[in-house]
Amino acid sequence: MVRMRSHPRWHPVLAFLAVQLAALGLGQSLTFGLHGRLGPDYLTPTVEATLPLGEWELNARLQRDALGLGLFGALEFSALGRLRYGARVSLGLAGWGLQAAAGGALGPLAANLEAAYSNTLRSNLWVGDEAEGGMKLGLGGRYRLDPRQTLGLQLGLKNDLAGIARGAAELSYALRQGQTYTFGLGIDDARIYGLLGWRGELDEAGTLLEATLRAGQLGRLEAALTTPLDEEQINNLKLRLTAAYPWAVTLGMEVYSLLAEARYDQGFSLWMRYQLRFGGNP
Amino acid sequence: MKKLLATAVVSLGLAMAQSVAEITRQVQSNLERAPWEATVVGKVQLPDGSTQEAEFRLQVIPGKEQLARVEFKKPAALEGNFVVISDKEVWNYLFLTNQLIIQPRAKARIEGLGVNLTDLGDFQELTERLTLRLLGEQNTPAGAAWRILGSPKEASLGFASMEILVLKADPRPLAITLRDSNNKVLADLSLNNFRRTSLTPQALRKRPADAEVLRRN
Repeated sequence: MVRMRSHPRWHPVLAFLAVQLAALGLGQSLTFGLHGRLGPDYLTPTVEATLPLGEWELNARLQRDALGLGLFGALEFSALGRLRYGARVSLGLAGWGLQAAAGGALGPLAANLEAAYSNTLRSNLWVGDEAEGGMKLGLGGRYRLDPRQTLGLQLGLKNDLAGIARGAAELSYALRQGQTYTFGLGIDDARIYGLLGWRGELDEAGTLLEATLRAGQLGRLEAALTTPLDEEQINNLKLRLTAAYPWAVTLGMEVYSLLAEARYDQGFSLWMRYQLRFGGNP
Repeated sequence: MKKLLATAVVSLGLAMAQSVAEITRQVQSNLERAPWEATVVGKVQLPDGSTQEAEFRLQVIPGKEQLARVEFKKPAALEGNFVVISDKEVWNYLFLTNQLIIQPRAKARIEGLGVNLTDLGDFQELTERLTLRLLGEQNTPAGAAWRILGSPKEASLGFASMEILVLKADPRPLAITLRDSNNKVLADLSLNNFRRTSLTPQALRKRPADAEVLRRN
């Protein structure tokens, strides 16, 4: 049973922020949510807001006992590509964290770089983040050999709160022939695995399935199904499944403005969110 | 005699000017009749000065709610990318990151290939920003064509001259050549496989369902 803990000092803040942003119509999006977890029990409201500030975008995340503020910018090169960069600082009763990221695509190359440090589990600062703390470095790249073939490389390095360092690397090759087939090989903390992926449209309406299986000394299946709910593709139904061994399962659903995520990872959790978008839908 | 000659030159000039205006009007009226598509092929100069082969499919729905879609085939690095241009917005889809970036039309720069792609779908807008002059006629495989030279009214367009070949029998652009102030070719594009076809706004706005949509102000 989830134990309801009331934090009356946050409620006026959340309400004020929500009303101000909604009334001014300044936020590109405003998302309200409620996240509950069993064992250890934890219940928190969540608020996410994005606010354009000139060429920048201010991103705020608020949950019980933690606030995160991020500033992101982007350079657009039209059909040639784009570059996005930004940083976020999170502060809460449990600790603090910093994240910086840059990524984008230009012509045949896409790359992203991420660095993060927190002195507590990042999920203590934002419920949607991983239950890991310490330092994290990530570097990823994709290069189009030709219109049909793409090479991918992901490198990761972590040094957790206990001071244990782990490295990860994954090399993949994607072949597009109507559908996209992906093959790869990876190593994560000395566990070797193979990668198989498939992505393609299932019908003329544009229903799209993407599935990736990592199997070997670790196992993880990720699948995402997206189907348009109208001809204009304004609204989609998105279903996500992630299953990993040792057992961890996540089920996600997005439909209209509602986002739901149920997770089992050493304990059950449920996160329901409602998103308000400003500035029109695509 | 001098007065007569001057009058003749002015009259000829006026006649030519009217002729260009009439050609422009005919082209615009022809392109606005019904939705159309064409394959644009040629060479463009990239921002780094190198020359690249370019090929893209241009689809246009004319009218009050004009909509254009540019789908890249070449350069190979851009294959799968597309741009959708409406009166209010510009959509940029990047295949490699599966992202759709939406920007207000007024702020979006459709650039990077030496030519503003929005111009190709809106002949009226294109010609309004140029001072046009009729150079004469030329025979092409598609038939007789007018040769029109345009000079930008403002330097910000990024080229010094634009030469347009317009098919006489079915007034529409056949080729566009952009040059810089040193007469170096910035873009040399031909419009091939022109055909009128039934296009819907939904078809022009089609994108992968799982694309990440990013709205930029």
